[in-house]
Amino acid sequence: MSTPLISVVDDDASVRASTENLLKSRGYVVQIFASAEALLRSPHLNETSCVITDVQMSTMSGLELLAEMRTRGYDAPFIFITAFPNERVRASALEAGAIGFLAKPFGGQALIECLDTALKAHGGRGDI
Amino acid sequence: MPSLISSFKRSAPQLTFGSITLAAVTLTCLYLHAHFAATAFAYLLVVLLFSSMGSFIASSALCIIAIAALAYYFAPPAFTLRIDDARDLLVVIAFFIVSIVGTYLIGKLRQEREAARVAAAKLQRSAADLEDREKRWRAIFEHNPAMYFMLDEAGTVLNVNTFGATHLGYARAELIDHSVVGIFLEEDRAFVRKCIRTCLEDIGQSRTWDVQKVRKDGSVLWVRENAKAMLWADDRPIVLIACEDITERKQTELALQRSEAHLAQAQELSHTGSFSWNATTGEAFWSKETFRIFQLDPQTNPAPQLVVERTHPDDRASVKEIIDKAMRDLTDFEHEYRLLLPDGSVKHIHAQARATRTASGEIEFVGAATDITAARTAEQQLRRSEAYLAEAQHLTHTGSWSWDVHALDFVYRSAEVDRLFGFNPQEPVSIETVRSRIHPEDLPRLQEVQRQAIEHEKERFEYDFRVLLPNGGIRRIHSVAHVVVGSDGNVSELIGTHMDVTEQHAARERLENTLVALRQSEQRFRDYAETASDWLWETGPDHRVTHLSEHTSAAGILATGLMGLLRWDIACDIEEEPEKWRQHRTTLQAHLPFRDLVYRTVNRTGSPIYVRTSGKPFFDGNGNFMGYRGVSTDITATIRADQAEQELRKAQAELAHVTRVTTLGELTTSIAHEINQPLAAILNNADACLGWMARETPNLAAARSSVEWIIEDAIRASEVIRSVRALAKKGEIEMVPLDINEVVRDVIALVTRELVSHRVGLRTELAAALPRILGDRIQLQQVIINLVMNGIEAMDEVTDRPRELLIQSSKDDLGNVQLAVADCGVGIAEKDADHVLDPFFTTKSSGLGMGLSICRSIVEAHGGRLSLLKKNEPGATFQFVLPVHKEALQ
Repeated sequence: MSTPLISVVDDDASVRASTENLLKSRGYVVQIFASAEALLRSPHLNETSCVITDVQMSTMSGLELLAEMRTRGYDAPFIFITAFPNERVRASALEAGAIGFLAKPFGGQALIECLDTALKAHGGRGDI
Repeated sequence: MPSLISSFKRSAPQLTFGSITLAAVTLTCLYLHAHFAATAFAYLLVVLLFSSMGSFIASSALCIIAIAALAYYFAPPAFTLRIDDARDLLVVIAFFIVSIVGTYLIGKLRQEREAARVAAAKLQRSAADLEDREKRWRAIFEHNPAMYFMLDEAGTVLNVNTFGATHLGYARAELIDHSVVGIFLEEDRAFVRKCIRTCLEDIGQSRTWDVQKVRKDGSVLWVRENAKAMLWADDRPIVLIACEDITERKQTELALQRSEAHLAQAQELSHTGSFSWNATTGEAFWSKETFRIFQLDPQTNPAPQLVVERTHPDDRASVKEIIDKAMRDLTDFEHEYRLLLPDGSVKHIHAQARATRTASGEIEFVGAATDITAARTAEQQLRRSEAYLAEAQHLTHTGSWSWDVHALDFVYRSAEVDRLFGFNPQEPVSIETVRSRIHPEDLPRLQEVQRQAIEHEKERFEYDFRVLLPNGGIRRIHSVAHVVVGSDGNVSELIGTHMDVTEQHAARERLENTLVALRQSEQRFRDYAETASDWLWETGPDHRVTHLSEHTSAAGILATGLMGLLRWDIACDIEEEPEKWRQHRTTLQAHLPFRDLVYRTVNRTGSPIYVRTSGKPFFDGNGNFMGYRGVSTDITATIRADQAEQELRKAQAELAHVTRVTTLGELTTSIAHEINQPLAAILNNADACLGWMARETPNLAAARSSVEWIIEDAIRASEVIRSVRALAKKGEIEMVPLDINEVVRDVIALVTRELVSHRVGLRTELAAALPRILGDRIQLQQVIINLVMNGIEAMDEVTDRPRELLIQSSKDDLGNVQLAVADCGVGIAEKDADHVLDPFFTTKSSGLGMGLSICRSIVEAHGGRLSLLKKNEPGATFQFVLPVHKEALQ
């Protein structure tokens, strides 16, 4: 089985790069995007096994990205990470079907666990 | 010859009749056979008879014939001339001798008788002649129209002819036996005596003299006396005098002499010599003056050639030609030429001659030569001085003129006058044309001036007028003139000069303009000085006040009695600030300018005032120090205002700090986000590092990169914290050269999350290479943050368009740096636009409304200006302009 492709969307370059670094150190295949639109334009969109995205981004937020993906028929699991954690956003994220909702800063382990959960929930495709 | 003829006339009949008689005697004797001796005797009688008739020659011839006849006919042998008989021969010889002697004697007798007869006849005739002659001489003596006097030794008149006596008005008897001197003028008598004596001394010698005689009636006549002394029969000397009345001739002569003298004098005075030259004989005459003119000895024989020789070489050819032509054609001539005289001088001669015909029909040139050197020299001088005058007039643009007040026209007008009026001096110009050139505005005044001058007989009057030149230009004339009073006591002429003063006029106008400009400039500087100060002052070389000039606007400030005081006598802060005054006095001693010296003194009412003064030394033409001049200003109010402003600034700074802290409070979430982001990255990288290390084959390179990223993010986090702390800091304002773009980037770091959370897109248009401005980084960050936050907030309600915030830096036309923050939010209502920067103005439900007001204070404290730009698009644009840091410019 092929290695699952993880898509990371964050408008903060260092967070984006460090997340990629973390996932790669755990053996995941990662592609990173500076915005939601960049991911939507990606030719590998349908290969994405999981989307890790920031919530607050200038044009399209993480929640809107989720909605758009679902609208387009993609069912890849979503993990939200945010520097502005609040309950309202958390609730709407989970309600929209997010697997995880992490507040920055978060421990690497928490993300991995959440990712593993997501991949498993996403069926066979989640296995490494 | 006549005697010969008369002798012949007498001899012929004597010879003829004698021969015939002889022949008759011969025939008779032959017939009678007379004796030879008788025959001879007969012959002798015949010869003697006929000899009485006169001619001896005829008698001799008859004698010879008789002898021949005797010898031929009567002496044997007959019929030959031979005489054989000695006696016959003796007879013949005796016959010959007797006949010759007889003949001679008879002839002699007859001659003497004839002589006596002739002598008697002559005597008779001569007596008659004598009488006749005496009569004639007497008639001549009496009636000859000459006066004859006969005097004795003593001068007594022995005789006088009737004509002489009558001519003198006397009867002869009245003169005879009287002394002759009585008929002479008293003064001439000695002379007359002397003349008579002279005659007597040398008898027989004629003497002539002219003297005057007095008639009986007292009238005087001139006589020429011819006198001669002779001895009378009795050896008494007498003096004969013949007098001729020459009164008329004398008068004519005197008149001639006089007229000759006049002529000579006239010639000398007029330097005119006369000459004549006879073309036929070549005879020439020159007057004395002619010789003098030609500088020739009057003894010289005059000739036309002399003229040519004396002529100047340059004129010689033409003179020769004229003389030659005149001689050839015998016509009048006239010419002028120069003489080159032996002394090297040159004379100008005008000569004129007329060809005339003399009584004898010969052609004679009569003429006059005049030395015109003086005239020519004078003419040349005149011409030269005229030329000089004309040149002088031309150079000085001054013309002279003379105006006939009766004829109303110019008597004289120099060429320069015409030139001044724009006429060609060669062409005649009518008075109307001249007048038409005078400016119509000036003509009446000019005429009035002249009229008054004539009326009051002004010695001198002046006037100005303008001349309209044909080219459209204007010439300004200054005229000076005076009147000339004629013999009738009225003004007859005006004489004056026209001077072209166009340039002087222009120069004067320029000068006047310059003066006006100077006055304006002086007023301008006075205005500047008065505007910039409250009073002007002047101190002398000893630095004591010599002059004070308070401006009206500031009058009443200065204390009285300041004149003559030193500045440090006037000031009240000597003790407080000794160093300032020590420096000031050093400056003054060095005669250097000083600026903005502030000192404290008291005003007229005794209140303390602050004075700011500046001064500059001034020097005389030789560079000697004369003192200082300067301005002073009462800056008491300014100083108090400065103190108040400092207070205000302090309050403002505190307020700014408060607002900053407030802003920070508002930004807490964003700041937390800004710190959380690097923290999240740090954690990720730390975990990744562990992950890379924990691999079966630890990826050390990746682990190392992870750690490096951790460090970078940690630094980033600490930057954010430093910024926050700086904003929160209540520190001193630190003015440093800044790049406004860097300040903007600092701000963006703080507000990024705020933009994101409000879904505002940020666009920056930062001009590259902007000059640095001088400012406090924190305060300017505060301003930009404030504007950005306001913009974000203004766009909260915008849903129908992208929310976009534009930060734009640029340089304005003046080189100032400007920064604009534009949003596309709700904008500022028209009515609020003017108040939006005022303190406590706010449209928000929360907030003090101090944000923009503080921003404005900060910008203005930086020498800049904050403003709300008006634009057509929705939203608001705030912009501040900051001056460029001066050192950055250099």
